[in-house]
Amino acid sequence: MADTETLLQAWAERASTEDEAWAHTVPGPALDAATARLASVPRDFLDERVSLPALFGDILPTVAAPACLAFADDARVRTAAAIALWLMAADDLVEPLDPPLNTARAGVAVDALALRVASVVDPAAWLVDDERRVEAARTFLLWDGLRPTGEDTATARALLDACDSLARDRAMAAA
Amino acid sequence: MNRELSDVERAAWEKALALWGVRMHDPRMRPGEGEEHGGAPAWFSFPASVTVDPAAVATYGGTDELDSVFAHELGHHVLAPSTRIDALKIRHQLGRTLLAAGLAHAADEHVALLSNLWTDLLVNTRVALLQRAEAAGDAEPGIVRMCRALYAPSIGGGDRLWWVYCRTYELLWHLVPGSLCAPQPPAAVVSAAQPVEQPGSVAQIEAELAAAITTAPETDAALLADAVRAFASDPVGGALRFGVVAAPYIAERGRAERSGAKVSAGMPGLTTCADDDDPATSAEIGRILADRRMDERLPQHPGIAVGEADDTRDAERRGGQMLGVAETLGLYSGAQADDVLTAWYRVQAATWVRPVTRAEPPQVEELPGPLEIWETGDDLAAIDWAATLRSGPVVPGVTTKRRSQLIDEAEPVPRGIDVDVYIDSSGSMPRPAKGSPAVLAAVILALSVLRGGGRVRATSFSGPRQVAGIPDYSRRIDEIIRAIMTYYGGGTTFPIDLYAQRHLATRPGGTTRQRHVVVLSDDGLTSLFGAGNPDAEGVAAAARATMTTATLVLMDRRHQVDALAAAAGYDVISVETMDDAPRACARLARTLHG
Repeated sequence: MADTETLLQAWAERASTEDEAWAHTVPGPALDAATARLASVPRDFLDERVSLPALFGDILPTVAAPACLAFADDARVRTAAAIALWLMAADDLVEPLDPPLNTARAGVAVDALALRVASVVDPAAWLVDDERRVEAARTFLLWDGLRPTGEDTATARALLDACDSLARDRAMAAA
Repeated sequence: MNRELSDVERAAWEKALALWGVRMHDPRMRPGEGEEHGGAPAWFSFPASVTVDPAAVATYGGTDELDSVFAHELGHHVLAPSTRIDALKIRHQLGRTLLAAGLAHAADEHVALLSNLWTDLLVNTRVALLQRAEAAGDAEPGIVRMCRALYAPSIGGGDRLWWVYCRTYELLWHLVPGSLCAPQPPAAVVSAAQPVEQPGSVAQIEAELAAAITTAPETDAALLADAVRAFASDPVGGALRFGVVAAPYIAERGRAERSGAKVSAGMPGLTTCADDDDPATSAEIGRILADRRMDERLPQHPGIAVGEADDTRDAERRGGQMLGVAETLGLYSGAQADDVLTAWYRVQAATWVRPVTRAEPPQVEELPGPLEIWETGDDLAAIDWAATLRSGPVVPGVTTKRRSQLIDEAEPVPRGIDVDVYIDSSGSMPRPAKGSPAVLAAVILALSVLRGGGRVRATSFSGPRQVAGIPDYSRRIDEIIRAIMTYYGGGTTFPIDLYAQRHLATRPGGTTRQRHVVVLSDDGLTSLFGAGNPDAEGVAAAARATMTTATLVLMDRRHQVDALAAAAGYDVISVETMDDAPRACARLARTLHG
């Protein structure tokens, strides 16, 4: 299993700054719709026997491989990436969110959950813990270039900051 | 003056009742009474009742959210604290966290404040959930609107704990920073510079604590939000988690005030919606202290780095030990000290107590055996007429029957014993209010005897004419413990006259009950054997003859009474320190059990 620092390092090398990410967000779907979708991930996506690269190739065939595939053996990374892929897949399998997710930025959004959030929060918590599910959904939307319906950038950023586990862990360590 | 509910108020009350799914008698509407309750617009009290000051509600801008005001107060009835005993347990836990945060004592006002904040957090969060589930669409719950209205005037205030409290709601309700409090927390008040103190002084310890325990409002609010989510239905269980985060703010403020630094005005007058000033009774304190959660390990404050704050006092508390007797007395300062002490010693003794009985020879009983022929010459009353008549015509010695009797080997019958306890309360013994191992030892013995159905007579003695206790054997534990706890703090003179009067008047064999004497003392018990009083020589030995056993539990390093005791037939249990006395008495209780 990769250690947390390694995953965060991979994320730091992969992602732009948060300021840039927020600057490029546009209004996206309702937060409740995103969290509801996140909570309804099918069991097949969570099956560890399913190959993550194959799953990614099936769902996002035109998108460059995300960095998290290098850590596909890590259970946290695998589960988080699979859940993120479900969010993208559901646009076709269920119905598109309104507005739909941004496929072009899906790779970095998958990495955001698999490398950044999953390194400090067990992805299983996203399915059972409202607070952690909101964190995952907001993070995914941000790196997909979206912010929840009805929220301006400052509001969306403040609300994600309020539930950001990584930021809290750092604050606790500094306390 | 109470007034009837208006139609609008009744509709709001019914709506609040429906929200929680409960029924309750109407609230008391008391216009203008909020001033007497710290400016609170509404409050909950025991026995369960809700009181509202509609004028204060209007002042705070809550008239449009009256159903949420009612729902909040009902939440104290349904959820937190729900019962008076749970309210007292929450206060107890929060008192522990105040002491752990470095406060010299858990002041009632601080305990009440933390208790209100914690229960309000739980109640308001649940009310918001219920209202969200009930409302259609994305409408903001009424309780959130109410809090916006009530807390708006406090935005920008300087109290850091209030900021953490409001920020916690923002996190729980996903509100944008700045909705209920300023986006940034107030700066910590820097204590005025103090001169360098002697190592070990109060000020120096305070300075160390201040350095060891830090407050980080933003992080602390997140921790409190976690605590509210985790303990949403367990206000007692979560009180410690809340307290270790919140109490340092009170300690921080106290230190700043004592240093002469300028501190902001305190909390707004919205934090006193519990109205229960009645002190805890003895029975309630006993129930509280007997709850194992009151003894559980304090969660470590996240602001304390591992390895810091290692002073023994703090480490003991965090190690899960129960509050000391002096701290418990401080926490229940409104209650009768005797009640608190009695409850504390009873709970401390509970783990040592085993029933003390003596197995007495059984009464030999007979069991009915098979029928046999009644012979002429046998006792006429022995004929079993029912069996005889079933055999046909009555022919004496031929058809007459009688029931034979078999000897039954009955089990030994456990019976209670009488124990006469004398406890030294001279100046060399610790005061009960400071934690006395001797008192604890005597309580262990007394409870063990009572649990086995026996009786105890307790006497406390010190110098001449310093004797108190109960005159007869008793099974009333409270009066026994009170007698044991009587403290004089004088010299050490055993009350030999009283002892003689009690035991020499009883002839050996005059009672079938086993009687035992136990004396607890640290030194100077030679007076029991007549030292300095020739008239008393021989009393101890004579009294011993009337009793089943007599034991001295002594902390007498010189062993100056060992020979005297042996000559008079007394057993001696020597303890190195009085701290060993409870264990010795627990062993003695098992010995008496036989």
